[in-house]
Amino acid sequence: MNTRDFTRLVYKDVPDVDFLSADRGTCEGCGNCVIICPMFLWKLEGKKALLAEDYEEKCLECGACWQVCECGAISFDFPGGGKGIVVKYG
Amino acid sequence: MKKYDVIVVGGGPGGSAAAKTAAESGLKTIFFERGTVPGEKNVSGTGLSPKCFRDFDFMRAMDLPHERVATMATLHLSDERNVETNMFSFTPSTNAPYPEAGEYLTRNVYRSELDPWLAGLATAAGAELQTSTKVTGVTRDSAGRIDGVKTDRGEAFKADLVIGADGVISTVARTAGIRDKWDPSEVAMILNVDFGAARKDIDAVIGGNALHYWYSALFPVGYSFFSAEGCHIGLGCYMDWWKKNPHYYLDKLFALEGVQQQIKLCKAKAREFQNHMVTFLTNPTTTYSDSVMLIGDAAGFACPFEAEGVYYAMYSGMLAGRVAKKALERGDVSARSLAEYERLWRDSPIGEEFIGGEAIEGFVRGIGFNPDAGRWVIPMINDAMYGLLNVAESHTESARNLPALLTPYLPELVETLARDLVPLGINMSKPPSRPPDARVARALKWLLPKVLPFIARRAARTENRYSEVTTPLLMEYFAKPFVQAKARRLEENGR
Repeated sequence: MNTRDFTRLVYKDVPDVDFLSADRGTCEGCGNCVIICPMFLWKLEGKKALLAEDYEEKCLECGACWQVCECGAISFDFPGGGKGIVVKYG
Repeated sequence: MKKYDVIVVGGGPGGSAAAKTAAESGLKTIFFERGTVPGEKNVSGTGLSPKCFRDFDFMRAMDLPHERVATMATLHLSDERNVETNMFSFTPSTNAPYPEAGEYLTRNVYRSELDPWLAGLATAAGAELQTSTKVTGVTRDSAGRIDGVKTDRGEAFKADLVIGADGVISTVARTAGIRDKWDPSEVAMILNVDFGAARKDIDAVIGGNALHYWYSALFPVGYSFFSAEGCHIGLGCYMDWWKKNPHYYLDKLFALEGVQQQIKLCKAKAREFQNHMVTFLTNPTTTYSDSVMLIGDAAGFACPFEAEGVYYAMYSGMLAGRVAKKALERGDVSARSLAEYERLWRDSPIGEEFIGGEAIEGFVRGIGFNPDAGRWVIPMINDAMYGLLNVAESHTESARNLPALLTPYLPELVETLARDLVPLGINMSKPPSRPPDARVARALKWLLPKVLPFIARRAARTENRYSEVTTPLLMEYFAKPFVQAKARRLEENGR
């Protein structure tokens, strides 16, 4: 079984503003965000963290990437009130 | 600009308990929720402990449509082959400390039902609820004192006190300058897949045995918890633990035959993928400042053993609501005045839970969330049971071979006993850091690794017959005095 298939099962009111980003200048390329993200939204490109373009549609707003970022390159804030992830069966 | 006595940031169980308590005591209270309804942003392990119903009268009226009462919990062990080797269950004790504890282990509910119900109790008590509103930070007056919050709608709300009930990534804690983000060792991430199933199928397959833990040699401890018409299957670990993507471990949990059986027999269908962080502290330290109190995960109040959060959030919310009333009556909302909050929670079941915090963390990190430990703990438990109960040989022969079967596990067992289990036992029963406790732990840590491997080495040299070493040793040091005493008694009786 590939549990990656479950990541399609996410409900959202897709936010129209950016709420997650990485500062490529500050990023040291540790790759912690790539390892931790259960939605596979990060990759390393040129030894710098790169966020998926459609992250607003997939991000679970868990903050895990922000939490494990060692150099403080990742900024995370919740999307605006009433927007973003909708957990139906939490 | 609206002025309140108390602003609560967050509409989860903690925020609602705080708002309810404050409003009931007559304080003008508002609480904010960033979802369109409370519970919309929350993920939970689903289980409410009996403590919730012991300590909150209003909880006894809880009647949620998808509740399942768990009357049994089952621990499954699976080894490096991802093969389940053992299964153990437990049920409420007939000598449980209070009625609810004797009736069930947990009451499993969905946050999408619990949180709105609790928020409704707070608004019924007079608190104002504003949903779809993200609080972007605390505000300060010209003298630099915190005097309210601002929201992403561009509004500002003023209050004498702000209660941060806004979870792990607490905006209140960070903008009030209480802390930056937690250390990765203080936070865990827990992934869930929610499944839906027919009530009758879960009733037939699972019934009240609704809490399954999957302890493994391959992934940090997983779980499948059942509600009335669904279940959460997932796992989690400390943020500083993950060496591979969580799906690597989740795949192995889902590949377990037992997990697959539950899904198939209940005809369960995956409905939702969920992930969230919870605090996992050994001892919360900073939970208030001038004009601010933090509760629930914002304060780090999840239980250090299994990260139970709802009860601690509600309890701290209730305490913060009470302290708010007293502080406002005193007309003093300084940190000095709010120190009462920490005194109260330290002296409550919350503080109790953290008395053994460090030792519990040692156990959880050393064994529970550590698949590397599972690689020897699980075969050891299996070999112990097999050695005692197998019918492959005569029971006499099996008993003779039991020590040899267990000898290979001794080095790791001794180290773990000294490092994780002894401090756990000592610290759970007494306040931590008392010098005699530390000395006992140190002495055992020094002594056990010297004595037991010596026995193990001796045993290894005697053709795998551990008993040839241990039996004489036990006779000499343990049994002999008793035998002699008995002989003396017989002699005296005979006289």
